[in-house]
Amino acid sequence: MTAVVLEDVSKWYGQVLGVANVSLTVGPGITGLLGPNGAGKTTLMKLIAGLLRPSRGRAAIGDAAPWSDLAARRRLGYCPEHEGIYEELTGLELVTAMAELSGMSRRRARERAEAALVDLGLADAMNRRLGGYSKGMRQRAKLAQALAHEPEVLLLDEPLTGCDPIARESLVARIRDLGAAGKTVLVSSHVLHEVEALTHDIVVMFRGRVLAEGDVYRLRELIDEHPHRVRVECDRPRALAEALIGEDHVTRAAFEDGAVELMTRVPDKLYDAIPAAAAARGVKIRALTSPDNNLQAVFEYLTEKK
Amino acid sequence: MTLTLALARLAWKRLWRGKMVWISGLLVLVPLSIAAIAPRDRSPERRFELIVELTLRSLVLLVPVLHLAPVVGEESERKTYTYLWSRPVPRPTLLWGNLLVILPLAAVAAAATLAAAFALIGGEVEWLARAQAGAAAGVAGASAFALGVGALFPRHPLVVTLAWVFLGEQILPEIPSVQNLSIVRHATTIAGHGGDDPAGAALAVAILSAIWLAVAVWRIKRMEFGSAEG
Repeated sequence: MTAVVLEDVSKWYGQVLGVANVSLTVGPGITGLLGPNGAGKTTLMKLIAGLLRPSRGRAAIGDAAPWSDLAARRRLGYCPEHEGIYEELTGLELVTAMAELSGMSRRRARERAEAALVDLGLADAMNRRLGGYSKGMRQRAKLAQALAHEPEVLLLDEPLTGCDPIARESLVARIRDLGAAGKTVLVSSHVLHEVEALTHDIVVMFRGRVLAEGDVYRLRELIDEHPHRVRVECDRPRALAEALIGEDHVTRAAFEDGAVELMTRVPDKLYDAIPAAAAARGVKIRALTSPDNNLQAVFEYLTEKK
Repeated sequence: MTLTLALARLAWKRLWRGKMVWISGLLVLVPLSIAAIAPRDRSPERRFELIVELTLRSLVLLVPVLHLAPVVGEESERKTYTYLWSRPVPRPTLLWGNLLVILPLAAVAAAATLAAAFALIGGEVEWLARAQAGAAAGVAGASAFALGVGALFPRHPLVVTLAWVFLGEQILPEIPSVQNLSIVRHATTIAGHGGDDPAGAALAVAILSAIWLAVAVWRIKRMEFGSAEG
């Protein structure tokens, strides 16, 4: 079983800090790398993938440093976050070429590429050029090139971005299978729900540093302590607010034109209560949003707490 | 070698599905068109010399530059380097794979163009053989130059290399102290249209090519791509 090890790793881009003093060991199974945009998740992944050299510290896959040791990269599959891809190639050509470059024979690479693309639902599209793929299809093709050569370590940078709900569900199931099969899988996301669907083991990053690591439920508790606003656009905001203000977790209601903004310390309870209250009072909901439903707000709150 | 071949296959597919190959196709036609309309009152030797010079200054320099200078920059711009260099692929393999495709293609295109022009003009077969040798040396030098400069300036590879082709290569041969840096000058000597030491010129092209390739390898091995955004 191959582990990813980071020892006091820092990376600067000139004067700008990418990641700072990160020490981490990621073992077999799925680990979620969680943080808002700009937290340093992609930089950390690139350091592990050997695309960047640490300014300080040591990054290793097993015992080998990916920046300088080809043996480390032989064990690796990397699905980048960006959309850049060889648009002139077909899905099958891309995945075959990448499997070959990972050390497979041409024949075996093609077999594995076909299998990976079929597995990810691209059987009908594999002979079409990538330039004509939708965002979700590209995402699956990117994932296929990371999986085809059967690596021990998988780095998946925002792998669910751009996928529709059905594709998302099948990708989540596929990634969970990989974790269950004993692969070391590091999945980054800035969406808590995505990570929760994959694993309970998380590493939280913010502003280039590891803020917390451990069980996702602990983060949930911290989030629940954070005052959370939910904005409901509906035809009768006052009637909806009257029904909800009696709930012990709702601390405030503020009205706008055709909307009510509710504040709570237990967002999950509020999300459950809103449809029930609306149904009971005959209120028609047009939209439900949360200004705080992003990790940026939560992380800033957590950082202030520290 | 397996990895080089895999990258060469990738480069081959991308070449034929890209737009640049059409520009190269047009460049092949330029010397041929001139050969067809060159004034008949000049001797065949003088007319063929004109075609050789035109071929060396355009096709031989431009085809490798157009295809090889952007190799590193495109990977960076499209972020496709993440697929290549997160694999057990030594980075210079990207250079060798593309070189393996473009160098023979450009050399064959130049040789075929010269042969077609020779067929139109006529003359001694030795003229053609020397011209083709000069073109082959020129393509090799220009390919190495394009990879070296492309790796040094990955953000603006075509601007820098084309500036060199259209300015540097036109001016350098006229300046004695630096004329040995000109690929066209050495290629012209090998082709038998200037200078009297083709072996020395071939050696000079080999040395220049080795230097530019060393620059490309040195640069690509040390390149880091990334930003503080992620």
